[in-house]
Amino acid sequence: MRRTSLFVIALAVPFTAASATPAALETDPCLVSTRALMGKEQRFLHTVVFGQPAASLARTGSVRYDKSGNSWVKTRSNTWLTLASGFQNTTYSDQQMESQSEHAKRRGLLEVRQSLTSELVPPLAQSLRAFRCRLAAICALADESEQSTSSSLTISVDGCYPRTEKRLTSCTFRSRDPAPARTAVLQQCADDASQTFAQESALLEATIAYDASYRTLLQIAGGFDAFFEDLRDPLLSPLRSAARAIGELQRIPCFLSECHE
Amino acid sequence: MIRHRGVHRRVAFLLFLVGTSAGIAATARAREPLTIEPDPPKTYREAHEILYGDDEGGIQDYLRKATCGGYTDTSAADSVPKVDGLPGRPGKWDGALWSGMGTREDTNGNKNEDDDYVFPDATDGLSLARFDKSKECAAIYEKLKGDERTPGCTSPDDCGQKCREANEVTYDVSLTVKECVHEIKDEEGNIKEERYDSSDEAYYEKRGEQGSFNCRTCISGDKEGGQRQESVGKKYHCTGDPDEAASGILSVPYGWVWGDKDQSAIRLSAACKRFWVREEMEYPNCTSCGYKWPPGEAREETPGLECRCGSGDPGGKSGCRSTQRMSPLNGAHYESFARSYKGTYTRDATVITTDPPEVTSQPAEVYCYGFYEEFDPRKRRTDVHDQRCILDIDVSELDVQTRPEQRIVQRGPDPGDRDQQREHPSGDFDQLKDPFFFSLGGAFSLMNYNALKNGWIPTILSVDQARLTATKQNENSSYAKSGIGRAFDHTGTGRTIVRWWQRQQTLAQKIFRPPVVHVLLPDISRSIETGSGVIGIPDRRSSSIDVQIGAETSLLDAVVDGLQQMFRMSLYEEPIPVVVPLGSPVEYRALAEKWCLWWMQRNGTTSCDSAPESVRSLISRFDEYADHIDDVRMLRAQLVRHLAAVLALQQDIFSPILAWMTSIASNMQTLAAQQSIMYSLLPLLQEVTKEQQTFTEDILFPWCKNDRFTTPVYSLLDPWLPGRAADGSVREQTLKGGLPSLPESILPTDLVLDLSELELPSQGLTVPVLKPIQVRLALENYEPPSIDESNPDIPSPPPSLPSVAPIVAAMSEAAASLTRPTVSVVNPPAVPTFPVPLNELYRQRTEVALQEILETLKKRSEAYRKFWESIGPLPDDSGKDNEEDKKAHKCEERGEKACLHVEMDLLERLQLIGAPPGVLRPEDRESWSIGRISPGGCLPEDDACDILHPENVPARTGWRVLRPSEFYQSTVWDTLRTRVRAPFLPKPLGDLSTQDSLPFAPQSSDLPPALVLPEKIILSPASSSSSNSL
Repeated sequence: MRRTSLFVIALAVPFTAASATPAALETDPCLVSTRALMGKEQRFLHTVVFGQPAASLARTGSVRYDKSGNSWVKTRSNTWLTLASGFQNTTYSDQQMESQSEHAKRRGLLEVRQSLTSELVPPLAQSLRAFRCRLAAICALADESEQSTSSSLTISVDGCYPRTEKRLTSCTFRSRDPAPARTAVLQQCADDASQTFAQESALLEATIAYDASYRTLLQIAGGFDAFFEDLRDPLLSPLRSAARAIGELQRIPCFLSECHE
Repeated sequence: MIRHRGVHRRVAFLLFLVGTSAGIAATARAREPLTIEPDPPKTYREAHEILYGDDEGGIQDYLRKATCGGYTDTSAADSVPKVDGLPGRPGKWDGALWSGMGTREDTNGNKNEDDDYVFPDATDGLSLARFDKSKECAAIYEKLKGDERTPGCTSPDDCGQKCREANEVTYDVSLTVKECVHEIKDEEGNIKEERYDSSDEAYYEKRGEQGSFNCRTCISGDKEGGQRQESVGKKYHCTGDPDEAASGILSVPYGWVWGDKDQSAIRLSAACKRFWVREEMEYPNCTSCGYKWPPGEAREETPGLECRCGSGDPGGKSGCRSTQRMSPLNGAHYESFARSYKGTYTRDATVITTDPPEVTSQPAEVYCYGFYEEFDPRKRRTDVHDQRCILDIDVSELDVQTRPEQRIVQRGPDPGDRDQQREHPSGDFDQLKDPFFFSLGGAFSLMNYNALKNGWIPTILSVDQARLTATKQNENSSYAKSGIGRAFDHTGTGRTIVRWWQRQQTLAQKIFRPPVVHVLLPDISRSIETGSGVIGIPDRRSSSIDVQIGAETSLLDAVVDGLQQMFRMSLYEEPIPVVVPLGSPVEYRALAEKWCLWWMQRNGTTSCDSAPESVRSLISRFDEYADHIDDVRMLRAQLVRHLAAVLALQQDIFSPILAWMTSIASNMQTLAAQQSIMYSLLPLLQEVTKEQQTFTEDILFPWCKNDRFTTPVYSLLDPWLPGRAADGSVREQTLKGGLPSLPESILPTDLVLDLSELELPSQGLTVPVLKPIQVRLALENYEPPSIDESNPDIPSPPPSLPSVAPIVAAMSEAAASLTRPTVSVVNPPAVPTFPVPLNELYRQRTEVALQEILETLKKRSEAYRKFWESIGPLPDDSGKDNEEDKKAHKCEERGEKACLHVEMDLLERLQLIGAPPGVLRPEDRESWSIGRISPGGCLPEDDACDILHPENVPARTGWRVLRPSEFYQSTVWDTLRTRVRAPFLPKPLGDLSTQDSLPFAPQSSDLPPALVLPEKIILSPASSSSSNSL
């Protein structure tokens, strides 16, 4: 019970729903972009929930994404490497990684100490809601990207704050595909979003359950600590007095000539 | 007798002790417990009667009788009884106050206290003339002497009867009648002869006249012609002399010895008749001794002295010839063979009683049977032969109860003393009313007797409110004096028996207190790690406390088990992710087969051996994939191997520790087994102590009495006290054996095993666990083209599968690095020396000694019990069987029933019987002990000690298990991860070059997230690495 490890079941790999996605759509560039964005939102949710330390404080083996979407692995102290093409020979230092990181360092909600899980549930639920908004915004962005020509779009999803995003150039179907593929792509995007959301919310549910039990255990352990500290005096002082009293009773002279039995 | 306190406690049957704030009650004879009817009372009145009624046999009455003791202001000078009218040696009560016994009084001032024997004036009895020259006389003497066990005469009537018989004993003696010639010279110088028979009355008349008398026998050759010797008279003539020629004493029987002189059957010649001689003095064979002066007449002599005549005649002081009445002509002195004394004791009252009043004086009639022997029981051991007297005294009224107001020995809290005020709230307790001291007054008693009348129930209900308060004793010192009254016994100031017994108690404590091993266990909170890890200033409350928990050998096993478990390090896993290719050999063989078929179908051949290199290389590559794709399974064994290395490491580390613990455990078991050797004797020891307890609490307490400062009765030491020599001296150990003694033993040393500083490894050991991430190889591009393809594009074969051997090697090296550097246990502590308890030889000696001691104590109890019962019946009705003999003054057998008392210390015995009730007098405190001075010493004069053993506390040594540092471990894992990644990943994360990188289904740039390691979130509040806390 020393240091808790919250195992982050990392699923930053874009999720291939093999059964649902036809092969043609796999390589659709719009879907690739939307999925990349969804992955980025997913990772952002994880940083909000679990936190992201500074690159210099990240442990060896951490994985960060840079702004281009490439994944970097910290193999040693101050050394970040990637397998992305074009960067095979590049080594980022901690500082460079920090500057190139797609999400800034932050403290996660579950890193908050001395609070019950119940107190963390409202912000967590809010984060989840925001995640859903963002996912919906991505698919709306894909849709808007096709219809609009401006480079930055304002996306409004019902129940969410409007967001300003850059247009997805790969989602201009009119220039490439016939309309039915567009519907399929958008439908797929919606499916992706809902599945991702379902997965994340299930994951978060499990995480919160674990967190709640762990914090409870910490409370109990702390209570035991305090108990043992406080127990000493009320338990051991009478014990000491009793031991002393018994000793004194022995010293009282026995009025019988024999004190055996 | 031996007492340890001047005042004694009686144990009441009911659960509480009745007394006042510090009243110390005394112990009674074993009293039957009080029983109450089992049926519940039917009315309140009945219940009230039972609880509060004052009937005989009720609770109140029982309690009253069950207690005695208290305090009196009467000095010991007045309360030690003074005895009159008995032989003995008077005592000086304050001769040796410190010893608890009085000494003998040196009344004649010659600094010798043993020669002050007194013999009472008012003695009377019966005496027999002792004349050994006559065998008839000697025979009567022998008859009256009796033997060892049986006195010559057994009761006053019997003795009187035998006395008369002695005076009527017949004998046959030849009477020699003398003819006495009286020669008278007349005026002319002629000698005129007159002849008389010595039996003639005229002879007597003439004897006083002038002239010489010559008497000669007229038996032979006289003119009257021969005599006949016949029996003369019927009286014995111890007081006469058969050999008149030598002694010149006429053998004619004297005086009233004749009795019926006119009717005797003497037939003598008429001629001899005139030679009869008759004396006027009366010297009967047996007569009374001790003349009773009529009241009012002045005494010139001490008539009782007449009875002080016997074989042990100290010369000059005896009464053998003290009066003319008792001085026969032949020198035979009258030795008394039966005597009676009238003794009384008087003393002052010590208790406040109204009805019945305390008996402060009591007469005692004593009858002694046997020829008088005077000796000093201190200088001569007595035996059964000397136990010859009957003490007729009524002791049924001697038991008194002290009144409640006398029971206060120690004053309660002084209302004026502010120190004491602090101890208990003033005004809380009203001594006259409250049933309880809510702040107890420094003694055992919980109850205020006065308030018992208010009711019993509150006393039972309020028990748990009582608080103990110590009050000062009646002295100015703030240190409590050890209030131990010196024990005393009848060896006088030497206190041999007391010293002996107290020394045995100390020896027994040594023997029966075997050495122990203290195992100090670690603190409870240390065994639970809660992650706080903050060690601040050590709290005094957290210092270890030694609480005995009654350990047995099974506890040590539990301790060993617990330590083993605590030493076992916990394991944590360190994930080592590795990307490995996933594929099925069947798929690859199928692919190879496809290419072969493609070629065969394309070219119409039956085998693809003729295929070009490109195809054959593809086929062989796919075959190779099929063969080696499952090599990845070799990685499965790595974790197991690593754990084996961890186990071996733990074994290396802990086996010396466990060997140490095991040797300690086996030593403990040996110790336990040896300790039980002595425990088998505990029942015997209990018997011994019970016997002593019965003696001191029961037998010495016929009723509640305080024997302090009485004179020692030395004859009570016989015959049971070994070590009392024939000359009366008492030694604890003599060459021939004295008082039995337990064997000496060396004080063993206890051992303290201090495990309280046990340091547990606070962190565990990390074990690398491979986390394989299987990524599918995408071989779709390696499908063969269609058969009809004219210019088939034969792809170059995929790179060969890297071997997993480097991964295996890396893991093995990590396992091997656990033992780098070599684990060694430095300076293991030595097994401490265990104490050695006593062995079988000691046990045997102890057993023999205990049995001898028990024998001695039993004989002592018997001797004293018989003493007290001889004057029965006692207040608790024992000794009733002896009453008849006692009142009839009958002594049928010496040393039995009532006939037990030694004549030479009758005075001391009566003083003992008349001792005052068991209350503390002011002088009793003079015989308090001073307490122990040094912790190691234990003088048997005053103390019986339970000496604690010294403790051997070996220096603290221990073990710590040092883990490799966190930093060291992290570099190891990093290296390991790098090496493990190397075979299957392209550069820069791995070692494969671009053309050698495997055709994974996802892009290689998507592979790194698979290698992510979970972050650790620390939620404990007090962590050293908290940068910002919430």
